[in-house]
Amino acid sequence: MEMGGFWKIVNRPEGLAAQHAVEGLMREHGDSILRLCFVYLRDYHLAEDAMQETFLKAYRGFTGFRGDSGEKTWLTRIAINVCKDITKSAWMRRVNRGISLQDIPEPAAPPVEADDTLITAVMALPRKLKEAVLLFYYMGLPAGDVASALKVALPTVYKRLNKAQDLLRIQLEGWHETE
Amino acid sequence: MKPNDNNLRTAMDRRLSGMKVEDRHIAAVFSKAQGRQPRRRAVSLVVAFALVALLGTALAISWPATISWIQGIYGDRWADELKVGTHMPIHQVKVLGQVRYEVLEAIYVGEGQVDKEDYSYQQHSLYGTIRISPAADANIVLLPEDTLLSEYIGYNSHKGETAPPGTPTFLQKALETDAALLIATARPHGVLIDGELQEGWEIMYDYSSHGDGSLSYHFQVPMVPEMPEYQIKMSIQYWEITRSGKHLREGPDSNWVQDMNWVITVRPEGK
Repeated sequence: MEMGGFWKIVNRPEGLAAQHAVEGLMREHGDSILRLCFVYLRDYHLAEDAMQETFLKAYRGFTGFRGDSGEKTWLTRIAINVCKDITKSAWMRRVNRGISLQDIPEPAAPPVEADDTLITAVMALPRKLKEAVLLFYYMGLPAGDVASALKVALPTVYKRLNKAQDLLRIQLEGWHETE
Repeated sequence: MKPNDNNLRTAMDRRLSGMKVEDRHIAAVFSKAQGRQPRRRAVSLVVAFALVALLGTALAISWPATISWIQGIYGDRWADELKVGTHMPIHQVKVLGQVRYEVLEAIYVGEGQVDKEDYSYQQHSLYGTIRISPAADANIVLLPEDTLLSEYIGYNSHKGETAPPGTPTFLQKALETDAALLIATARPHGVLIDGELQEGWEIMYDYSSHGDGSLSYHFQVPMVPEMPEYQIKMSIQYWEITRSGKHLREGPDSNWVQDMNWVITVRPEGK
């Protein structure tokens, strides 16, 4: 539940208070935004840039935020658009972005092979499917919020999720399904 | 293992647990945010009155739209490359039916001056901005591509902008003025080199809606060699979208208007 954060935003603090509020959002949601950007962009340094740009935009747009959506949905929407802008750049199209979990900060515990397999499979998904999977399954947004964030119709979200499931089932063949 | 919310979230948060927001990230965000403010804070009341009195001059010394665009997306380092690039004001206009297209400027960045190693992607590129507005007497509301009728005029949701209360949506404005809703786009096919269209690289582009009802399209054409002049082959078009959201771009109701062969020649000033 985001109730505490939601009420802070409805009060719409300005100036230094806005800075403190956005800092609070960074500490609460920054890790997940950073990891979302990494899986989207497949590069840790770009993900750091994208995460910082997300919160910079959030800070600038803070007094305009009306609280229609939760703060996580709002931040996720900004992050996805920042990532999309980065992927549109000519530089992104020139550099061969392999899928690797090698050059990233060490996890708190030794890596689990199953985690790597699932994450790299998601990273390899076509962009539109990857967006839907990340927003719905990782960020936990309701399907309606996913549709709004991606500016597509709700049935389109479900189609993309189903298609992603089909592709991942093929790539992860042999793995046990867990519910 | 399906990517249901339990195992994908578990996998990502466990494997990527080393990716955490640190104090340096927070400091970088606010350093950047505050780094832009002094430009406004430095404008004292006396200077503000002087700028109002010299409005035309004030506009002339502001950064071109193309540089502001790059700065907004990618920050100062990339924008700095454009600031020292070859700036070519154009202001060439084409009226296509109900819509007016004005190519405001082009900026060429060659070798790059600021950071050659890390920022190779903005070198050898031609950047520019096209402003789209209603032609004289046209009763239309313009939208950029991929924009919902329910979005707010002058606020670009794909950039994270949120509109204050009371801002009209595109649909509301059209209903208020009984105007047609037109989606308009403008971007280069590419640059002609020795009369041939250069191909092979993706052209980056972006768009914005402005509060006065106009649109801007910005572009980067990469891998352009430095030349005495540049011939840009532009693609401009528009079509109507009904108030129920139907695009009239195909079929018997289509009113799609396009010009895919508008060639603009630009050269550095003084040449």
